[in-house]
This record gives sequence, structure tokens and C-alpha cells, in this order.
Amino acid sequence: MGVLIFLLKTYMVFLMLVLLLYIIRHYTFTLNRALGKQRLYYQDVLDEDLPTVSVLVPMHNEEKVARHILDLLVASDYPKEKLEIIPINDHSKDRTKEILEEYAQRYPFIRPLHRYGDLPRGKQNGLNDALKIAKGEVIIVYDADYLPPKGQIRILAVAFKDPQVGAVMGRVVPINAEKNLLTRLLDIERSGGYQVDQQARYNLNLIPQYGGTVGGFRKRLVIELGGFDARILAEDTELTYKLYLNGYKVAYANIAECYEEAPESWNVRARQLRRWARGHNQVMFKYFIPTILSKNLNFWQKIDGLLLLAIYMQSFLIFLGLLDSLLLFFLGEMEITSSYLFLLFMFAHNSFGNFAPFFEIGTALVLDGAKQKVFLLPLMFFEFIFNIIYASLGFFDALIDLITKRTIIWQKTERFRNA
Amino acid sequence: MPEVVLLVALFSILLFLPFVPPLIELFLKRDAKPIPIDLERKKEPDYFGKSFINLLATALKDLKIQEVEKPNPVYLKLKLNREEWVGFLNDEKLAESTMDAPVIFTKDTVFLQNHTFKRELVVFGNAVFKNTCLARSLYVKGDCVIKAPLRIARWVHVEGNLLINSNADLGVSVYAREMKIRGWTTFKRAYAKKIDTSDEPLIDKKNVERTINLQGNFGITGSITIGGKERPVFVDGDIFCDGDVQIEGDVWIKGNVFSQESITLKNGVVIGIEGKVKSVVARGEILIEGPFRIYGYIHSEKRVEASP
Repeated sequence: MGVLIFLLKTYMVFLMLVLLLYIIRHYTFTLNRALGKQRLYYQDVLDEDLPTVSVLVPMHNEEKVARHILDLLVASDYPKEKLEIIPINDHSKDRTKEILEEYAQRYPFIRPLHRYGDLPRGKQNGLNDALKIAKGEVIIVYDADYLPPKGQIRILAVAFKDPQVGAVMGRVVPINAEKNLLTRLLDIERSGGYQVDQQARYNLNLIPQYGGTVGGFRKRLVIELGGFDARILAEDTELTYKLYLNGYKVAYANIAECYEEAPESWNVRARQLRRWARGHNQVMFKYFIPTILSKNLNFWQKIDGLLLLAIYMQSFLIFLGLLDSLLLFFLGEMEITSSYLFLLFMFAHNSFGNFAPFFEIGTALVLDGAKQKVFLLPLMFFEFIFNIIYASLGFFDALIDLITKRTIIWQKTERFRNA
Repeated sequence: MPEVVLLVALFSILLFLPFVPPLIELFLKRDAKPIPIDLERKKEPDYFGKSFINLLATALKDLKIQEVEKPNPVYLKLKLNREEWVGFLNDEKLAESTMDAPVIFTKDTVFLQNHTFKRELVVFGNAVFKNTCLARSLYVKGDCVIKAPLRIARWVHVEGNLLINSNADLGVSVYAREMKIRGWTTFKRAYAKKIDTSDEPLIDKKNVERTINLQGNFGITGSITIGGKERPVFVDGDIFCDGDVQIEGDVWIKGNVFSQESITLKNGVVIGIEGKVKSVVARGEILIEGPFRIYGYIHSEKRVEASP
């Protein structure tokens, strides 16, 4: 029993230390964004020698949204002789195929890729196939529910003039923010994630993340690095690490704002979150050691890289911590240590740990000029609990993937928009 | 018993108190919409002037404007961003020393007196500034010559060529077909097919020998200094730098120059190729000293200062 209690207490101390690291991280990012030097993106580089671009739009049963994104891409101000659009129709059973063919007939630069039969489903598989036919030097990816503004492809593509840039990432904004409680919470969560978190990581020369949509990468480079791993659901996170481990960086374009459709039901959000957590943890299992050993990352990039890799495992660790504390309570062993240092950790966690991400979101909302939205922050507590549950399940999924090497099945996020 | 009830009530109130403001916001939806994104947005160096002149053209579309012949200013109430009086003049002498409304000169205009134009100043013709003037913004349909100190707060849009022979603070944004800087000038960004500070031939128009040729795009994590004093340097590509960029002498960068810090360009530097748009962009200041030429765009988050 003594050994068990010792292990339970040790885990609590370990968890406190991990959370303390994340607290420091969140506060560093927030303070940098609020008060620090802001790194310039490349949107002001005007250049007539732009790279050729292939825009890939993975689609599975997207009849509700396909026309919207295609109309906006057609209206793009990017020189049409340097642009091709490849919607990837991935085993759609609705009218997606007909819609794409209709657009392909009207616009010669739209070249749909239809994937049916034995071809494995999934975004990463679709992207790998599209890379084989894409003619552009630069690949820009949009999910089908996105609404890119007229000048956005140019803003994203111009980053690749910098030879150090391997990928670029824009900012995601839910268009249906006012729909219900969930979409409102996702809206403010996205604000924190992009306006503060991503921008601060870009400012501090850490690891801004390529997010798989409203972003792009160099085609040649990704092909040289072996394309996307079909066994990994978070192809975007994987690419981020591949690039950094090979000496390239991800540029973050806060100005490249793009509307998306956020999930409107908790069931859909749960599935999306579980898939993200699963994919992200798959990447963690694959890249944790290479990140530590990399010679292309500096010390702070390694720290940030490891914390970013473990971000979806954090929920699982907190979940274990809750169980641990319950056990310790019923065993009557609540006194873990009498050290004042531990008290400091307790205060740190209780005072800041719960609130640091919220503080980050609050700062983002102020920067966005959305000050009334700050009042919603206390409700994030419920989403926090929700995230712990579904991100933990995603962690288990990834663990089982690692052990059993089972086949990955892609689960598409349901759309809510009227066609 | 009443104490227990009171305690339970107090506990409940304190427990739910933090959720009162969110619930009010949730139901009242005072700030529920996503941040606005303009789906038409694209990068346009002539955005300010073009937008203003489009507003003006739309406001004037249904009005029958004849040439203003009477020796008086004509004021029309037009809907620009809001409904306001706009003055139409055909002679600089008719303008008061301080004009509060947007002012439009309908023909070529020479500014011989001091003026403060608190709003937009428009010249549908050529403009010559021979005395000190201040304006919020300046639009010139033809060419514009600045022969006396001029200070613009916001933007300058010259459809023709812009020649600066005096000190000039041109505000945030300058757009012209060609821009000749021959006096001390400052602004934040400027776009023209050609922007130069000297008439003498620079390295892109001279026959030079023993050149150092560098091919490709350069990404630099620190600072960089390129000197072309001893031998001319040709860089056939872009320079992207995390630190300061200092370029001096006979150096021709055929691509873009980008810095997360400041850029100094001295004594003979040429950026870009005639007929193509290239950029010099810095988060910090851009200092230009001596002869210099760029084909395209200069942008600084702080300010550009050119001393020919």
C-alpha cells in the first residue's frame, strides 16, 4: 500500500510540474502578444514573379458547401495562368462529383480529382494522390467549408519567396459563431489559438503550427520528405515537425483570415476533437524522440516542440490526476508534502493553471476588439471538462493505433450550412 | 435552520455568480458575430486614392457638373463616407488659408500661398506646390511637382509622375506612376513603376566589369551587410533577413529585400528590374542615402526616410 501511495503522490507532483510548464508557456505567449515585438509577415512583399500554385480542396460529400468555396476561389486575384484548383472528391456519394464536373467545364483551371473504388479514404491519402498531379510549385489547402477572401492565395503564396519557409498558416474564424453556446465558445477558443498562441510562437521564432487548411507548403519539399503518412490522422501537425526537423520553418499569417464552419452540435465536436487528439498523439509518438535529438532545432524550439506535441496528452494526464486525487482522498493521503515549495505549485496551478489559457483567450479578444465576448470566459470551464474527456479518448485511440497498427478510418466533420 | 438556509443560499449565489455575466452575454448576444472579414480584400497599393475617387465619382454620377467659371468656390453637398460639403474651385486664389471641407481644383493648379487643407485635396489636372502646404490627403489627376515643404497626413495618389524637389512628409501611403525624390522625403510606403533619388545612371544602366554575381534567394537569420564599393555586386534573387540589412555602393538586387529589423540603402543601390514590381519591406526603418532606385514598392512599418 505504501508503494502505491508513494506512486500516486509522485504522479501528482509530476502533473503539477507539467502544468506549471504549460502555465509558463501560456503566459509567455500572452505577454509577448500583448507587449512584445511583433514579427512581420510577408503580406507587404509585392512581387510580379509569383510561384505557380495548386489549391487542393479535399471533399467528401460536400454538396452543401462545394459551390461556395469554388466560387470564391474562382474570384481570387491570383494570376490565373499561375493557378490551378484541384478539388479532391474522396468517395463522395452525394452530388459533389456532378458539381465539380460542372465547374471543371466552366473553368479550365479547375481540375477535379475523383477518388473511388479501392483507393483508401482520408484527407492524407487524397493529398498524396493530388500531389502526383498538381503542377504548382506551392500547394495551398482549404477544407471544403472555408470561404477564402479574394486576395488570400497571394498572401499565403508570397511567403514562399523566403527560402527558409517550408509551410505557411493563416487564421481560422468560425462564420457561424453566433449560432449557439458551442459555436460561441469555439469562436473565442479559435481567437486565443490564432491571435495569441500562433502569432506569439511566430514572434518568438518557436514552432507555429501548419494547420492543414488556410495554409500551404512547398510541393517539392513535401514530396522529398515522403508525402503524408497514411497512418497519421493529423497530417498537418506531422508536416510541421517534418519541416522543422529538416531545417525549414512555418510562417504564420495572422492577416490571412478565413471563415470556416464550426461544429454546431456537441456530438460532432466530440468526434472532431477525438480525431484531432488521436492524430496529434500519433504524431507525438512518432516525433517526440526525433524532436529531442534534432540538430536543426534550438533549445527553445525543442521545448516548445515537445510541449506542443504533448498538448493533447495533457488532457489525459489531467484526467489521470483527477482519478489520482480521488484515490488519495479516499485513502486519507491528501497531504502530499509539507514543503512550502509544493504550496507554491498548488497556488500556481489553482491561481493560474486553470486560467492561463483563458487569460490567453481574453487577450486575443481584446486584440480583436471583441470585448463583450470576454464575458463568456467562465463558460469555457465546461468546454474544458468536455475537452478532457474527448481528448483523453483520442489519446487512447492513438495508443491502440500504436500497439495494434490497425487501419485508420477518416471521420469527416458534418456540415451544417444550407446548400 | 434559517442559518442553514441562508448559508445554502449564499453558497449558491457565490457559486453561480461568475456565470451571471456569461449567461447575460449568451442570451443578449451583444457581441456574438465573428470578427469581420472582407471577402473582397486584396492588396492594392493605390487603395486609398482609388477608393476616395470612386466614392467621389459615385457621389457625382447623378449631378450635372459644368466647368466652374464663376470666380467663386462652388460647394456641393455630396455623400462620401457621410454627407458633407465639398468645395469646387478653379483658382488657387479662391482657397482660404485653412479649408475645412474636401476641396477639388478643377484644372491645373499652382499653389503659391500657404494652405492647410484639413480634408482631402484633389487636383483634376497638374499640381505644383510653390509654397508650404498641409493636407490630410492629396489626389492629383496629372503630374505633381513639390517645390516647397509639403506635409500630408494620410495618403498621396498621383496618376502621373511625382517630382519632389523640397522637403516633404508624404504620410502613410504614396502612389504615383513614377516618383523622383530630389529633396528630403519621408513616408511609410510608396509604390511606383520607378522610384529614384538621382538622375545619374546607376549600376543597372552602366557597363561594369569584375562583378560579383550571386544567384538564388537568400534567407539570413542574423544581419547582413553587402558592400559594392570595391567591386559591383549583382544578386539575382531575393534577400530575406531576420536582422538588419545594410547595402551600400554599386549593388543591384534583382529581387526583393525583406527585413524583420531595419534596412539601409546607400550610394548607388538598385532594387528590382525595370518593368517588374519588386519590394523593399522592413519592420523597422528604411533609410535611403544618396543615389538609389527601385522598381516597385517600399514599405516600412515605422517610416522610410530618403535623403538624396
